[in-house]
Amino acid sequence: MDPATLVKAILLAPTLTILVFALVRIPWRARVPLGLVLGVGGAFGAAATLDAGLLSYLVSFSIMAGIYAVLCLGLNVQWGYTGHLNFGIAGFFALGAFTTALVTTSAPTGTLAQYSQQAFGLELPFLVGIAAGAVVAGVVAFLIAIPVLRLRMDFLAIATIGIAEIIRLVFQNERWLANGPQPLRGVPRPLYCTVQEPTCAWLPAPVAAWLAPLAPRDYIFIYLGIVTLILALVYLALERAVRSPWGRVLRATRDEETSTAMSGKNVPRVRIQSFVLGAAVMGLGGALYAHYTVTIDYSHFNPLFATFIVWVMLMLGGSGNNRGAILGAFIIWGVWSGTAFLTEALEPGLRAISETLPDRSAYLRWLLVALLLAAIVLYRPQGLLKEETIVSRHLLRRRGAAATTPGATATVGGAPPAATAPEAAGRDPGGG
Amino acid sequence: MTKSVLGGRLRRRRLIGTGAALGALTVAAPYRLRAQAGLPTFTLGQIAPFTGSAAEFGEFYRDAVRLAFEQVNAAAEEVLGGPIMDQHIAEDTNTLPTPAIESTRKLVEADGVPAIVGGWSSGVSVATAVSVSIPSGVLQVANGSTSPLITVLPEDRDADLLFRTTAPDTYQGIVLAQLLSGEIMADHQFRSAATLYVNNPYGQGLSNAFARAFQARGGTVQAQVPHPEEVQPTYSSQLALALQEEPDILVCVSYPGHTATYLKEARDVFGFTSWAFCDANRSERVIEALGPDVLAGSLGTAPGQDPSIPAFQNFEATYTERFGRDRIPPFTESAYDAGIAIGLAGVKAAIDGESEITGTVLRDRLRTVANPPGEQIVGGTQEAITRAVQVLRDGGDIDYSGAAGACDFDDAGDVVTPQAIWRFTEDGAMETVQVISPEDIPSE
Repeated sequence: MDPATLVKAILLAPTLTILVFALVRIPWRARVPLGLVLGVGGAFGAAATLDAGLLSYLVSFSIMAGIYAVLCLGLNVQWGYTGHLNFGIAGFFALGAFTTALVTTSAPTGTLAQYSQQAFGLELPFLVGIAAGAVVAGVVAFLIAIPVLRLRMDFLAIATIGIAEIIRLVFQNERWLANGPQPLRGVPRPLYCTVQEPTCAWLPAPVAAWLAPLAPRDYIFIYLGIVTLILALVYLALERAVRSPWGRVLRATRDEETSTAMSGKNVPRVRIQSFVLGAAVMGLGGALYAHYTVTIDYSHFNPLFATFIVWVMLMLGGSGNNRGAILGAFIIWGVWSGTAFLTEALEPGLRAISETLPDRSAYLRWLLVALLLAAIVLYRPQGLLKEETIVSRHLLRRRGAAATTPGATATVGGAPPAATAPEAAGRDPGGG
Repeated sequence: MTKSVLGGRLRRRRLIGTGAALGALTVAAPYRLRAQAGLPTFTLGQIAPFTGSAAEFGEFYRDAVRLAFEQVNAAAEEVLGGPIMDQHIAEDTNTLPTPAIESTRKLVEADGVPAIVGGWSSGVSVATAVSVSIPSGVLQVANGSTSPLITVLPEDRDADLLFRTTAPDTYQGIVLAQLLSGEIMADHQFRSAATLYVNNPYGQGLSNAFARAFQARGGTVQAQVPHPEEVQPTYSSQLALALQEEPDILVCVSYPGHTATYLKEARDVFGFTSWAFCDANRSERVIEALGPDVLAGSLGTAPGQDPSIPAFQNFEATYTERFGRDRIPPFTESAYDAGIAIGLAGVKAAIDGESEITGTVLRDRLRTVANPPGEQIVGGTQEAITRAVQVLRDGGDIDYSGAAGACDFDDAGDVVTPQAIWRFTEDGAMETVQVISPEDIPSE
């Protein structure tokens, strides 16, 4: 194994370990060694066996899927737990991206200023940038929430589509703000200096020497670590929130608003809180996106790839389940990118049908995605991972103890399908 | 996805067979055999808009690059004994940056291509270059991106990996300003102008470039009014704003769908018919909407396509015959030039003895094959490309002259293409009045 592959394997190991921790549901005592073994082993195995290009592709794929997973988690707070039909993800996504871009870039000077304009460029660090992205998205969501959250379901959907379009059009038209229709470029990559020559000044010599085999094109291995870490933190924070009493009020508000109000809960406030929290998470996703693509402009935040694909991800993964949200993001982004390889593999077959058919594979790809979406809505409306009916840690513990006694139900955290299926179908956003 | 495998299994098998037979027979010619066996190959990538708002163009661009791929490979087989490119893979951009970045990642990482043709819109080209091609050391030659930002892109200043075969809008803006200030035709002079432009990098960049050059020539630009990219039922508020101070002429920097709508309104509601056009309006649709009478005599500018140059005529003939197309949309010829330039740079690299053709290896030879000095190669035909490879094999220099213009890359990786002055005729057609060659265009 050459030095670069070794470094890549070590950089991949934490990500895979976190993945195993998240996916395997066994007691912590066994999970820690298992996660370490599988994570480290998997990273080295992948780095050693896969072709370097394919490995890089899988890494960049995972970064994008990870960013979508953050967006999906944000939507899950709003739709999955509270029932806000938000079709304006693109707006909060854009706010997060443009905010971090303005906060972390430097204002253009010299000849570049003729072609590139922006309101300000604060040159602050990455963490300040993504925090600002989340805060601005949250604040805007709060201002919007007061008038808009009076609306329910389809009316809310229409209003949020409109808001997302307004936000996008503002960024498209206001040249002074973020370069208008032209790309706003130069969003810094966090820790990019670790793969550059010369390396970061603050980096201790041994670490610098260890990272030396990496070229600038291997930067994605570093960024994957950053995205995974943030995704894991967001996941843990949201799991904590939705399993708390506050999270149960959210679900109560979603299912029976009147009863919740009768129990003395402040329903409008809870609805606003969940909308703002979800939007802030989407803003964070947008900020991660901007630092990944380096350049952004209004066209990145078009409804298809910034709103509806996130909805498909959540519907497939399972709304009301944070693990499902992450899973859905990876699967749908995998289907979208994978169809490019699939149509390539199908080429001989397509050519056998008609000589010109392979030339149309770009369109066949959309056909496959559409068929998948139809299949989800028809056969799996509740998603791959269903919502857990019991989320309280205290109840789960009691249930866990009861489950060991004979006669008690053995399923923990999974209700009989019959109980959740009609409910999920009832909340289907106009697709079912 | 879409692949044209010239060196496919069948052909490769035949090649191996021929090679074995030759090897048994011609022990006396070891040099040629070694050259043949050692010819390095590379995969040519392309990103094109097959779906999304520019979906109508994607197939044309793919076929143009496919033609370049076939011609360079056929020339390499004839002269060097084997193809130089093993595959041409064209991926969809959806005319949006997010899927375009994903497609570029696939090409660069999974397929390992050292060079990419494409990026139609500037937003897509800048996004893919900055986030994928430049950090990965991959050469990207955009075929339809005209934003002036690409010239000064700081990420590319040292890397020098982003090129384009279309001139930046700056030049069209300058020629349009020259035209309207009477520098080109003495009787076509205006003191004030207003622009109405489509709000995307193209419209905004061209409108600003025109305004700067027009003001530098003593004219007044009273307003630059943007309108949305989606076609609107009415443009009366934008027109009112643009015509508020009664400009002498209205410069239309929009696509035919927009122009057809708002010029009708300008004529019928505002009684204003003094118009100037740019490349995007050179369309039948505008004539259909307004009728030839009111348009007759109106002038416009257009970069690139200069139907009078031989390379374009050659390309047009070969392309329409090979793919059965009846028209050549803008930037098809520049996609072809990009493919040829990359292919010839690859041939040059192989002749120089490079064992592996990487992005920087190609980049270092792109200007060598495309710029003077050297024997001029007028592109478009198989014979010309074969001749180019012969000259390269014999150690000579070539100067590729493409279907979209001279195809000479400057330090920023830009080309200067000719700019055409065209007009609407009385009988409802469009004709080129004059072509301004690149050397006659001032720098501002």
